[in-house]
Formats: sequence, structure tokens, C-alpha cells
Amino acid sequence: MSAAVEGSEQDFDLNITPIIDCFTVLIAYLLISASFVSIGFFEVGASTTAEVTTPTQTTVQESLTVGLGAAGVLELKLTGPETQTIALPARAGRWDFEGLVAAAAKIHNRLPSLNEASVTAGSKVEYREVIHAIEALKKEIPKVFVGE
Amino acid sequence: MKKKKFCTHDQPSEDVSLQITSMADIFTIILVFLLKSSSTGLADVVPTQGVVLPEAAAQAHMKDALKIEILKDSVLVDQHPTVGLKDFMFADTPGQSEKIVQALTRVQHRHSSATGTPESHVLLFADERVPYATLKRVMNSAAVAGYVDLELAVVQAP
Repeated sequence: MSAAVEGSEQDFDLNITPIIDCFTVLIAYLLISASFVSIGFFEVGASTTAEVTTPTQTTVQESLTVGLGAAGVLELKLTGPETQTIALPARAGRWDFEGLVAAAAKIHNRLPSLNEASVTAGSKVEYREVIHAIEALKKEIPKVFVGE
Repeated sequence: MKKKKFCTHDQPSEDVSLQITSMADIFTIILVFLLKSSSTGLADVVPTQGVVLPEAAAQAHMKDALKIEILKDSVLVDQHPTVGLKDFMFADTPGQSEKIVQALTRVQHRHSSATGTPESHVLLFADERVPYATLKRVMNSAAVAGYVDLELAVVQAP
């Protein structure tokens, strides 16, 4: 940069070394403290036996309950005007969540008014399996409850 | 900036300065990016050390709400240990669920008196190994205290 001072030309440089120093420290701090794990959320309702006040419904609505049973068996129970029970056997020793997506899609296509499903599981079933069931159901049914 | 003088035998002396303006530009961009990415998330959305969240493809957005965590040895309500667990399981001693309900009710009262409306949303950070029996008990306790809308935290699958 150059500037004219009283007729004579003078060279000067802006000293940005301290700014660079500050930036280096800040970037190092932010990189160390940053969390690169992206957390997502499944919005579910708590299906409980606790007393709740709900308006009396005159029409019987269909509902789907998915149970994660022992030995990797998935049981889909459809209740309401239409009653049906589907058992999905284990695939390679694990719950067949792909089969669950397909079965839920089939039911939802047949009953488009079905907007809710509940997930239940055996006492020893781990949380990750419950999450996989919720993930599979959420692809077809918007509202999922967990509980009774 | 400190100027370095390089002397050569053949040519007359010449002032050479290190050009760090471009580096300053890059640093500014990195800094803005890091500041923006660190400020978009909520402060306490990171789970406690040791919690292994299950992996799934879920929605990224969330509401700011009360946080319940289920760890290997305890249940935390609003980051305070409320009930002890043994290998993710409740002890046989009675009144365990009631302790969670009391802790949640206290937070609910505090929220209601501050805003005038009860809160129904709660963030649940549970380890992927938590058995369903423990999960159900914590969820039932939350429902009794009025928290019926649960946001189950997972690690976003790639």
C-alpha cells in the first residue's frame, strides 16, 4: 500500500500477523470443541396406561400394533373394522425390518386412513431394535406410539 | 509485517515480504464456517459421555425440551442423577419410578409457572443396549408427569 504524506510517497504495510495468530487459536479451539456427530430425533407418542382424558369416539378406528417378540419374530396386529395378524419370522436370526416396511406399506395402501401404529417389545429387547422398528414404521405411517 | 532482506551478490538488495493476506482470507472463511456450524445446534444436545446412541435415519430438527438420559448406571433428568440402575436395569427396591415422576413433575411445575402452559415434549437419550423394560418404565413415568410427546435421539445414519 502507498500513501502520499505532504507530497512525499511513503510505503507502509498493514500488520495482520496478530489477527492471523488469533484466527489460528480460534480455529484450533473450534475444531477441538466441535461435535461432528449428527443427532437426529424420532417423534413418537408415549402409549401408556396412565389416566388421560380423551373425547369419546363413536367410530371404531383401525390401529396397527407391532410387537417385537422373542426369537426375532415380528407380529403385526391390525384391529378395528378389519382384524388381521401377520407374523414375520426372523431373517438370519434377526428381526425382519425390511419385511416390516413392506407389510406396513401393504396395509397402508389398503387402509389409507390408518395413520397410527404402536410398537411394543419383550422386556429384554434392546432399544436399538425398537428404534429400527420405529424407523421402519415411520416410512409408511406418520404417527408412531411406543408402549402398551 | 517484518520484512526480510535477501542479499544477493549479483543484484542490488531488494525488500521481500511474505504475502499472508490470502492466508488471512482462508482463515476468515474457516472461522466463519466453524462459528456458524457450532452455533446452529442447541447447547446441550450432545449426549453424556459413555452413551452409545442407536444409529438410524431420522429427522434432524428438534425442539428445545427437557432431557432425560438412560445410562448404564443411572437415569438423568435435566442432567441430574435421579435413579440408579444396574446394567441398564432398575433395582428391585420400590419407589424407583416415583422418583422419576417426582423429578419430572418438579420440572413441569417450574415450566408451568414460568410460561403458564404445561410442556409435553421431552428429549430421550437412551443407550442402544437399554432393555425395553427399563425404557417402558421411564416413558410411563414421563407420561404420568405429562410428558407424552417423546423425541428419541439417534445418531444419523450416513
